[in-house]
Amino acid sequence: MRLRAVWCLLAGAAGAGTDPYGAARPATRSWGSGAQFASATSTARSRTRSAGLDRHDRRPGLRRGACDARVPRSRPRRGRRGSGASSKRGMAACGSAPRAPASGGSATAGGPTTRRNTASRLTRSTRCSRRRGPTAVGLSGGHARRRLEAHHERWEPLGTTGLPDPLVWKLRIVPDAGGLPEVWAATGKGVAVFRAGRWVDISSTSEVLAGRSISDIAVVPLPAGGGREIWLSCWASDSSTATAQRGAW
Amino acid sequence: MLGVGLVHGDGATWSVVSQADGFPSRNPTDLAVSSGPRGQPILWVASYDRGLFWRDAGGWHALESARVQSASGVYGLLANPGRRPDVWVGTRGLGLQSVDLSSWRTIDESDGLPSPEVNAFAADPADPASVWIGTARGLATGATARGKRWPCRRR
Repeated sequence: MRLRAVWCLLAGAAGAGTDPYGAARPATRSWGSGAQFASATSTARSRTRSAGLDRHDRRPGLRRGACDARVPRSRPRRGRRGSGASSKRGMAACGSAPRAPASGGSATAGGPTTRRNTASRLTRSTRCSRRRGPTAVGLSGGHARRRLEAHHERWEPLGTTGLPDPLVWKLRIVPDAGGLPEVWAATGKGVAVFRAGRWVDISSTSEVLAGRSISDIAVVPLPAGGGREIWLSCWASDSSTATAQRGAW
Repeated sequence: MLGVGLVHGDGATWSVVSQADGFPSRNPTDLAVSSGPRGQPILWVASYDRGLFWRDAGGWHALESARVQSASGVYGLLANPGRRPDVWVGTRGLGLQSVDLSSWRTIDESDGLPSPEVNAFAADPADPASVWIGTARGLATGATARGKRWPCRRR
């Protein structure tokens, strides 16, 4: 049991990485930019997600005691002393997705206590996966998020808070000054960057960009590692004009 | 003039590219970045009213293509870094333009495009030579292998 907890602890710590977009996010949600945008994890949203996954896992197609069917059953045991087929299955599932849980799992927030709790939770859920079936597995986070990943059926709107305009023309990944990627949104009334889990309107402070409709964003690397240059095509001064003009093409 | 032109900056400070800088259009519509023969980045800028432009360390250049210049609008660009052509250009009414720094080729209905209005592109990551095209009358795919004619398949 102790070995199992240590394995989950180590693997979970490795799985939950620092979000390059500036926000804590579940490490398994890496199937597209939509998931990256969904990195604005608030406690309330995480609770909602957990609840949804729990409901999701109660589908009738899953038999009692089964783990996610997509988890390879023949996963190596990694030197652990085995204790039976169902135990292997549960441990394999834990080892295959040893991530921080969906609710509150964060590399930035996780101190030693949090990690210990994470390991404990994962271990407990593994035990539950053998005894109580897939619902408990869903609560652990790893399985459910992987299933979510496979189905691509849940999208989380980020809202328009911070965006200069809800009309988004383009989204681009732009490296910041340190080289870390950021999501930029070209909108009908300026340009915004997704930082620390929220949109920051960077055009409002610029006389050149304030209120401009941005139709596209491009990044040109400067020679000899001199950073990057950002180019914006400004279409019209407000989104209604831009919409009308685009429609008239 | 509807547009305000092209803006560039470092993320903190911005400035407008004026006609005096060599970029004559105030209606840029789409941007793309490809790589030149020596690996240098090349910025492509499509415009609503003046055709297609590209910029390297030497400044701005207008694409010497009467076909593109006469297009009544450029809908979109798709850069093809490290491959040929440098960029795909979707036009209003003049089909798809396969554009390099030194040459271009027009792909239109005679090649199988369902419409000369090309709005969108996507390159297959598993096969970058294969491009999907969204037009005003449906989709088409085509391969860009050297020596092959564009074999559009309507979707």
